[in-house]
Amino acid sequence: MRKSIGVGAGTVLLGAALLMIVPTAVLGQTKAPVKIGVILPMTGPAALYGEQANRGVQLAAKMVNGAGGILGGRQVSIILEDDQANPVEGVNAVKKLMNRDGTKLITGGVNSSVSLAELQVTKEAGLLHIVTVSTAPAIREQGHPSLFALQPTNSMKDDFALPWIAQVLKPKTVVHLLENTDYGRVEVEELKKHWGASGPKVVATETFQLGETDFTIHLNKFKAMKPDLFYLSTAAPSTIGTILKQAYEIGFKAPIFLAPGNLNNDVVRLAGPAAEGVLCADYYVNILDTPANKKFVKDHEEMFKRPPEKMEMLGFESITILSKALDMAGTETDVKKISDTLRQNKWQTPRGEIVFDAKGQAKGVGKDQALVVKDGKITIRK
Amino acid sequence: MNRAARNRRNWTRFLGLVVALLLPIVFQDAYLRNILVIFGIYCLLALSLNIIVGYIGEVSLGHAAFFGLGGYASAILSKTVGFPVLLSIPSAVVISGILGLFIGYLALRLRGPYFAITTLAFAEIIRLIVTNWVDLTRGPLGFTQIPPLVLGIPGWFEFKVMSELRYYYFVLVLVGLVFLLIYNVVHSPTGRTFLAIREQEPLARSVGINPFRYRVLAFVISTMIAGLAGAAYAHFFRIISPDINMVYYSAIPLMMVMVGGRGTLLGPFLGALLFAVLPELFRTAGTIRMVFFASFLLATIVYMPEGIAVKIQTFIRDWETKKSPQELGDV
Amino acid sequence: MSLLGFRGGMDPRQNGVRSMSLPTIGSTSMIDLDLLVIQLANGLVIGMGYTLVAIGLTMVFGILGVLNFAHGEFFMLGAFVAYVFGELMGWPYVVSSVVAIVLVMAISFLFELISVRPFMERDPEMTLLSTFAASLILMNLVEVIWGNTPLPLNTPFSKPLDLLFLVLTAQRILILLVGAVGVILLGLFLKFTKMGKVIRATAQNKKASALVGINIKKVYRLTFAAGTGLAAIAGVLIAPLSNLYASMGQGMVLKGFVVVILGGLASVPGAILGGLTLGITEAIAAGYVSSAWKDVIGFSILIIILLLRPQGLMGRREA
Repeated sequence: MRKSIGVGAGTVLLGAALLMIVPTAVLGQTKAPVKIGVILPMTGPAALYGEQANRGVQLAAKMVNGAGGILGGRQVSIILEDDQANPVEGVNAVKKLMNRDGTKLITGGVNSSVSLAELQVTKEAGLLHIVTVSTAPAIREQGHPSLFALQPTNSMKDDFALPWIAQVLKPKTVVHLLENTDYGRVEVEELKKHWGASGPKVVATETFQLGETDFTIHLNKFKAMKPDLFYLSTAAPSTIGTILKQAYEIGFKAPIFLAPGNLNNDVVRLAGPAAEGVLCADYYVNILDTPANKKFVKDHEEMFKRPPEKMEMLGFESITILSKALDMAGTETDVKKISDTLRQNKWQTPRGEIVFDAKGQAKGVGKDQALVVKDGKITIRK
Repeated sequence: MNRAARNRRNWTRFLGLVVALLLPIVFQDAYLRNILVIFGIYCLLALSLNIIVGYIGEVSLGHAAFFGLGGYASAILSKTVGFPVLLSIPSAVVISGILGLFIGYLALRLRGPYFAITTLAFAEIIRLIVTNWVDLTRGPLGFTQIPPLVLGIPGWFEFKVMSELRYYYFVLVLVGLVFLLIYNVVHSPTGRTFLAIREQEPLARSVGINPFRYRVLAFVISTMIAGLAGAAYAHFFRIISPDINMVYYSAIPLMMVMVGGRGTLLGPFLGALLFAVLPELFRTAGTIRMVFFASFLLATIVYMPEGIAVKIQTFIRDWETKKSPQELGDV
Repeated sequence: MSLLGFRGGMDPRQNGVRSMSLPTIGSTSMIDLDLLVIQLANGLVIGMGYTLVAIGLTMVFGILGVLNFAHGEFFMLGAFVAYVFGELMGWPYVVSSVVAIVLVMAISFLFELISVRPFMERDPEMTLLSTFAASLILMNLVEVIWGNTPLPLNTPFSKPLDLLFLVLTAQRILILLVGAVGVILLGLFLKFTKMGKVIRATAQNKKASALVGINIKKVYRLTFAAGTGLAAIAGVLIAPLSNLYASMGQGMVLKGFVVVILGGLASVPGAILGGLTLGITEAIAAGYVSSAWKDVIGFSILIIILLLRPQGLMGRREA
């Protein structure tokens, strides 16, 4: 009698256990994806950068999903929105991602004005916001508890480049051409700060409006002064290309140093032979000789049949780091926990190792490189 | 218009109002409400340009100037100078009006293409000033952190009009007021004077009307409304950039008015509906969207130059005239 | 990389050059003279570009009575078509340019058919809006196809030439040469050939010309093609100086309007005088005045002229 009760009870228990396992196994077959919002300029003046960053994003998603996904085998789903380099569109995109797609994870941002607008919304709504490309210092100063910025600010980049110029190139006189924006003006201060009284002397400073196409007046003025170095603070490859071409055309032969972070293959392409010998510095080049970078470059070339550049790397970083952080934190909705995870850990990326400081700024533990254009290619200058 | 038609029209308007009031309740999500606010602001823009294109009868290609100016003026006054938003918005409207007076006084001496080019030139000058006076407007970087609209007395009670829902009603009130203003002017002796000037200028002059003064007056009203739209825009999105002065914001109101139906009261609303809602539905289309819009405008000019609203009105009228003979027993 | 407010060099209306401080090394007087010469030279070059664009605009207005708001787009299309043949297909610059000009003239036939002809009978004032809409279509279509990133157009004439006071590239000299030759040829054509006389007759009096059997429609088409052809020439010549972008026509057509009003609507000599004047004025303003505002000067001139002397420097007063 007891034996049969025991057997009966055991069967019931076994049955109950099975009943619990089987539905979970069945449900587990169709796991909801983890939605990550990516807002980039896919049309409009910054579309080139948007496309590049997006390539990195797509590659990262593919890698993460290929390795089995996150948060218990769930696939990462990228929802891409176009901000058209327009702050209002960026805001609309955030609202759409938040309300219609129901995600708390916002990444992207190439133009600083767009990121600035977006972060107001993400701050008020308590969303996680990873700023992929935008560099304006103001972005980091908004007291946003869940904002993270991947690119170093220009001041950070200058911290390497300007002393390097003073110590390695040792120019006595420098002429400075800058764009009439916050960026340009900060550059003027940076030169003063790093070179001060004992460093290279800035003998001429000329400003131009964005969108200008004829720089020959400035360049002729510079040429007459026969400086040892020409330092250029502007970001748009088309502008840089035009300036380099026009300098070449008027026979202005001083060595040219582009403010750090601004040398890329578009500049080389647009300037043609005028790019030869141009100098710059950057925290990432795709010829970096590390295993992580080599793998990244290889995977990118496989997927897109072309090598990646900085934008692609940043896009890749944004999704790779976020995915890992989500996995480690074990949640996609607890924004505070994800933020803490991001801040408390070191992250391995193609550019080296980075950590986030209290304000969310990514700081590379790797080294900046000086660059020079040789035979039409960007190479590392020793 | 006969009694029945007038009643019908009043009922339609009343229904329209009810629908407008209830819309945000139907559309609960913040994103759609966002679109509603944009629609409201576009209504204001269209109503304002309609005065110039429909009632004065000239094509202005520089309307974006007043839209952008209103936005920047209110933004700068409230953030840099420290005005409460409740004061900066009317101030921006006044500033737009003053500029409208200046430009209108100069430009309205000219007609047709000359007028169009002049408005375009003025708009360009304003755009250049806004873009280049970086110390005041922060130029291409855009002007951010514009204070939100706060109703009430500081220190006593404050009602922040920031969410899409509240802002929609705010804009609705503005649209309602502007509509009432235009409606009353159109149906007043002044409105009849405008009509006379537009249709039979020599005759109007012969009875002592000075068309120039009336045109300038209309122009000023139009620019003030455009400035109001700009200020509403600035305090909703709380960022503004020189994009707002670009040809796009002169072209879109023009399209709204031409396609919707210039010189009518309904036209601007139809146009705003089309051109505010469609872009959001075609979010990912970007530049192609403009190609469609411009093609649409071109097609409208060729096939339906009077605009949709007028087409509808003509259609209804034809339908009515077809009905009445039978009702009256005519054969 | 700061991309704050970066418009990709899209908008020439954001032109301007502001000097923050003058150089302290070197002899100032020599620099001033050098600067003046350089500025005059630059001014002439860009002025020639304005002239080419304005002549087409003014001819079309004088003969068809249409102010073509899409004129700038033909300037832009000339450059882009040359880009397709030159950069994408590798043809030599001169060949691509000639092909581009011919193709753009062909496109203008189509354009005239769609945007202008339907209104010439009915309601010529509508051409204002129709050409405006057309310009938006063309500009955005180009942007859809080639994107918004500035593109290069390379020319074999980029070698700098040392000419005593200044160094100019051959391309800039080419602009002056081609411009001057083009204008002279046009003048000769109008004055001495049969077709030229027909065109002038139509400009003077349409009805009378039709009465003596001139095919007005053919005159329209020819004028339109010639006008846009000139704009395309300007496009292929000027584009290599900096970059191509979809909205480059917008800025150019505005300058074209300024020149046309300055010189007098429907006056070719006025367009020439006005174009060169505007170019030099802008260049001097850019060099000596703190001039982010050089475009503002152009537009202000436009407005002043419209108000004080609407017929322009060389135009006739309309009845």
